[in-house]
Amino acid sequence: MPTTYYIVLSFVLFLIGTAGVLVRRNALIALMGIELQLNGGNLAMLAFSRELGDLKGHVFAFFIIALAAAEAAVGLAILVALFRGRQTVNLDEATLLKR
Amino acid sequence: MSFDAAQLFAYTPMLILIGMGCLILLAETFAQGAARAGLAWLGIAGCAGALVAIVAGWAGAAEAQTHFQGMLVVDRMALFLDGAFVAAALLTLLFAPPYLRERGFEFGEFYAMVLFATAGMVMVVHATHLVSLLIGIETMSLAAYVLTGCWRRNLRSAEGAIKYFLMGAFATGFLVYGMALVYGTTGGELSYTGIASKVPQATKSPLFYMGEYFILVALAFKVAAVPFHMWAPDAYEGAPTPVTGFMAAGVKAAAFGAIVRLLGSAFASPLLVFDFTGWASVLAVLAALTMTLGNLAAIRQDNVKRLLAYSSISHAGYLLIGVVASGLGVASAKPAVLFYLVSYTFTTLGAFGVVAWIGNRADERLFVDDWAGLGTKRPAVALAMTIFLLSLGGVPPTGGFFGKFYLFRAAMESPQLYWLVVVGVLNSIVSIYYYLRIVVAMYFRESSRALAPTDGTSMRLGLLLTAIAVVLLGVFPGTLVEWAGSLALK
Amino acid sequence: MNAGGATAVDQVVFWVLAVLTTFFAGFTITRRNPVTAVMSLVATFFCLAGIYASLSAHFLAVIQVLVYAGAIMVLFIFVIMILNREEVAPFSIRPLRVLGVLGGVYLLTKLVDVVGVGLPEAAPGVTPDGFGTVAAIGEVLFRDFLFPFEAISVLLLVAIVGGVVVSRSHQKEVAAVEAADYRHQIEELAHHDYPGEPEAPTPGHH
Repeated sequence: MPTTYYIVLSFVLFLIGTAGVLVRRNALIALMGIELQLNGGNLAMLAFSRELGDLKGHVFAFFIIALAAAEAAVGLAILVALFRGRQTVNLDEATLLKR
Repeated sequence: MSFDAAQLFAYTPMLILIGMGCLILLAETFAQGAARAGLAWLGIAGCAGALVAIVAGWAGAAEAQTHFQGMLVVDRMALFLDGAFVAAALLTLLFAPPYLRERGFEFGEFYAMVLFATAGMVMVVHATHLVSLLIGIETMSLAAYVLTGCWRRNLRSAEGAIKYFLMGAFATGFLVYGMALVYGTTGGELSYTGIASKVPQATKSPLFYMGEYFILVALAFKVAAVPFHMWAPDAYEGAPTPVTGFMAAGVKAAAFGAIVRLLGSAFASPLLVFDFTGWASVLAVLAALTMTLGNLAAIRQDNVKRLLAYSSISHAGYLLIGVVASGLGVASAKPAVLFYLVSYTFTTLGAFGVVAWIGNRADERLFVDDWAGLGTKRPAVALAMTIFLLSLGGVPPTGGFFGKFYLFRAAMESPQLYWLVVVGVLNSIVSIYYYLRIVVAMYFRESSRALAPTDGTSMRLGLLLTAIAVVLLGVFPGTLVEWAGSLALK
Repeated sequence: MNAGGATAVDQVVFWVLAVLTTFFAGFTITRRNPVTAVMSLVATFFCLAGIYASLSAHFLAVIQVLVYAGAIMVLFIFVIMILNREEVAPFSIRPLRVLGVLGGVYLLTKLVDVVGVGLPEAAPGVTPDGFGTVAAIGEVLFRDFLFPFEAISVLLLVAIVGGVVVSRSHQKEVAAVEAADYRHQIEELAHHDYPGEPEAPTPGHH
């Protein structure tokens, strides 16, 4: 398949992830949206990598996966800490810090 | 080509920071009770060692040298900023221990995190490759999220951390996608020089512009430029105060270092700078928005911590003026940005240091009214705070005045930026109003409330050092400008 | 756009996986129940692993399944088990945010229009021998990318230690102090008037 198709798909994924972060107020789902964004980036990387016959993109994607794992660990830990205090992970209910 | 271990010597400051961080983590296991206080001093020793290493490397960095297959570079700009980061970490380690002890969450991991975040910042400004930039930014950011959320019993801390984290990770999504697009459209280039060499062919594809702007958006998030600033006030308010100072000073300075380097090499081609859609015009608009909205929001704040948070947003706007000017080819703009970053680092750390000093566990005293009468009760601290506020407002003879002076003077060299300088000057004048409100409260209003500050020897030492630094930068700005200037020629 | 050069099997595989990926991704962010969401996220990652394989990225496809669908998802599930709670109002429709999403959709239509510019229409030719295998990637990783490989260990250390620091449960003697602390803060919250917030939630209230 031509690379173009993969790029469009990657952007669709990225966009769905972005929408998830912007529209959903459940911090867990927002975190999943961020994972989707990163996967969109990875897919674009790999598609370009094949297009160019160059393996740097693969290595980059490899780093992104490691980074996503680290990010998820820290993010979920913060979520647990928030939940412990407030019994909610809804961002609209987290309003101790005034606007 | 193989990995040459000898090249690691060029990065001694970073290695010292990481090594000392690991050492603190190990020592933490054995330290009990009072011995915990020693952990902070380990961190301070690490910072001092890193400073020595930076000074030792200065002479050899006159010529830029790249290492590790183009991943990192050692040059004077990077070392100059390294100095600022390590100083910021050192001061944070002076402010933090009494604050943490008073509030009952002193643990060694805190100090280790500060050092790791600093190592990340160092990596960011040395990076000449998108992969090393990404890893540096993430190391710095993850440590900053953790530091924001580490006051586990405080709900504000967790709330600030989750907002900071989500927006930060969101920005990382943009960064990664933007890098993928740049990689694809430049024919597989990830290093700054490689990208710069492929710009003419890459600009044939609109995807390249998209990638470029995605990367810039992510960095704009990190420096909290309007309209990507919404996380900043909450994160800054929620974080333990010494961490707020560290974030506002160090993280922001590192992101600016990355912007200056990226725009100065990878995206420096005239094809990308000029025109209506070039980054110079886009960033000029962002600069005007950032200054104005940051100041307008700060005026309405009664909470000093939040006021300083908005003020730090507006300072990102002033700095962007310098970035734009350097993009338009003004040679003196880059040293001006660097000088501003250093004076801003010390001033912000000092101001947040006083905010950390004044409150205690039961009564944080964050509102302007709570500061009434400080001038008579604690004249020394009130004087220090006045110096910091005047410096933030850009009043001589402080470092902040010369920071703005050099920045605006550099921008004046380009006729296209006159309007931006006017906006900047007007904003500085407006900002003096709300900084003076605190000064007026401290000196001209009385309060019968007893003062029970957090205090602590190391805190006093930190405040003394920052106050001296801010005044010295205002009295002898020339020396630092010379240092900053010596690297701009390269 | 045409799919010149791709075999019929390639096309079928791509379209099936692409449609499934998009469907599951959309499903993920619209679910009210986080467990359903995380399950469809796993499905998204599996489909993506298939797409990676069709891009000759076999090593990455394996890593995707191991790290994402395996490790990260387990982490998610654990956390959901700790704090599973259905929401009353899962969506927050705010003008600026919706504008952001619409802007993204507009960019997407533009992208479909122009994405071909500068990229060949046909599928790329045969990839080099061993492209995407462990050996080939290892070669690049340990030669050109050794520094980031070392540096990411610091990142992982920060993540591990940070995760523990932020979320570890507190010691017993501190627990009482904490309960008082929380109560104090929540009372303070109840005394403030926050627009749009009916009442402050109290701990222990499910």
